[in-house]
Amino acid sequence: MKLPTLIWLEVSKQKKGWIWFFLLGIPAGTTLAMFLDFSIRYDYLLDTAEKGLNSWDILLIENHRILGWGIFLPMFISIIYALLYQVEESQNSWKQILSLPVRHESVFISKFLTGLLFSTILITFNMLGLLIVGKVIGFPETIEWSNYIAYVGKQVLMTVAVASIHNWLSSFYKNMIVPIVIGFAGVILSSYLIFQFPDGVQYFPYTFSFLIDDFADQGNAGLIRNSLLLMVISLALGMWQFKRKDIL
Amino acid sequence: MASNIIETTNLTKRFGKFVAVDQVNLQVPTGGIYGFLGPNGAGKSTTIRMLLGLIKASNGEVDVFGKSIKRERMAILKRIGSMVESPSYYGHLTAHENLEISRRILGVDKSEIDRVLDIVQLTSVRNKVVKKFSLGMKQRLGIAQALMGNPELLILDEPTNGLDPSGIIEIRELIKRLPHQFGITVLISSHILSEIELMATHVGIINHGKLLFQGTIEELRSKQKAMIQLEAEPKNEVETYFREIGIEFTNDQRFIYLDPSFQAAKINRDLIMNGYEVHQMMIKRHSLEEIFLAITGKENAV
Repeated sequence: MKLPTLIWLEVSKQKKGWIWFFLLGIPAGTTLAMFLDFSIRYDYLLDTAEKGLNSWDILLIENHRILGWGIFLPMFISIIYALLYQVEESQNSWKQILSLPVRHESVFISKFLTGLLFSTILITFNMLGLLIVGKVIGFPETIEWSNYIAYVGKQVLMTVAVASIHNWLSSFYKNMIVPIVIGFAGVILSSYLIFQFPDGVQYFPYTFSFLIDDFADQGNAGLIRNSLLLMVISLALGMWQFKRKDIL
Repeated sequence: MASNIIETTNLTKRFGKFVAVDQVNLQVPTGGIYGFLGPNGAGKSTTIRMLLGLIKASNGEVDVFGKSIKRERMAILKRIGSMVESPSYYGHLTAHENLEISRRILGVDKSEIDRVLDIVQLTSVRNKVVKKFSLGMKQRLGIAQALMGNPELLILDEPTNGLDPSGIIEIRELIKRLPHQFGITVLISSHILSEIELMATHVGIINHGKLLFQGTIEELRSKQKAMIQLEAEPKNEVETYFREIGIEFTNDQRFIYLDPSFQAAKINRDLIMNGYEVHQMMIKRHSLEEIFLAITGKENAV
């Protein structure tokens, strides 16, 4: 069984599902919020911005830090994975899928990759929303595409650990609320840790998406390494657990 | 081909201290329909889930097509179609879209969807979302999913659960056709003997996790031993009379049971001549239902 086929099947299972409202609704909300922010206080933001930042940079900072996209992203990801697994739990479809000739590992990995695909779509839609805001407000500067594309790429890399953890949690808990609550708790805890224990946050995956340094000089290499490492560990442990799971 | 398509050896499943399946040695012959009977909670579904590798056995072995489910799960599942308890489906998708998911995983031709929809007579509603289906239609869709890819073995767990009488007849007729028309061996579980009796060639009876009977339906029927059922008074004195003249019998609170080899008419005459009141005398044959209840310990009928 090829992974692309399983991923295609995962996407088709979501056809007419709530996930599309979520993937469109959240970026629509952030777009509207940023539009209001820049409609009201664009001049103020330009006046108080650090030297060297143009309108497009300020828009990214506002979205990521002030609106809190970077901090809330792990929670959105936890919801995506909960929805992906809920489609099996709600009709007890595990017994049907897993009594077909398909490996448990393949199903688990395909769920993870599908979740990552949906997360990437969510992040991309958020970025596209920002571009619309800049165009509608009428930023005078030329858009720096590389910054915006890097913003999407880094967020994806920084969220793979959380994605992998929530793929595991959602496969473990029958009740989809539990992993979502864990995701929410992770977000609350990370906003506390960022300010109280700034040196320790590089080991707490729920903070990684907030810490991307599009606006700073240091590299993200350490965080990316930690994110990838945690992803591999969670995937391995989750897969081990999923294979042993009795389908009742 | 092995004579038994499914063989389990001391198959056991424990959930903590609770033993759901206890050293079951199932032998399902190739061809025909094997009825797996037992009351609710007897261990049927747990056994079936172990046959499909959905639950790991605590002890024992499962061999299907002569291969171990532990070591060759993929090869085995390629040749099995199954529906475990209620049919699983994605309610927001149409019948066709649901079958497309199974088809892609099985890697079979697109025409398979039309073929199985035709067998279960759901072609006309192929583009209807499944959450709008009646229970009978959902059950038929579950069977269509199980039939996808021409399996050699079909495992159906309580396929008529919740169906009305016409739905039960419909599913039964469909299942009865499968061995002859498509060469499929069927394992079907149920807690209703009368349902199995009408279609099965072999029967296994399980209760409290233990396999209590296994054999052909004829072997089960042979337990329908006939006997003379007598109601006479005073009962105690009649029993004493039988003991004195050397007639063996069994009894319950109301009746006395005699071997049918005795001449009923002669016994009747003797009893009357000796001043006993004979209220009724008849040849009694235990129904399969009574045998089933007796085997599963629900009633002291045999």
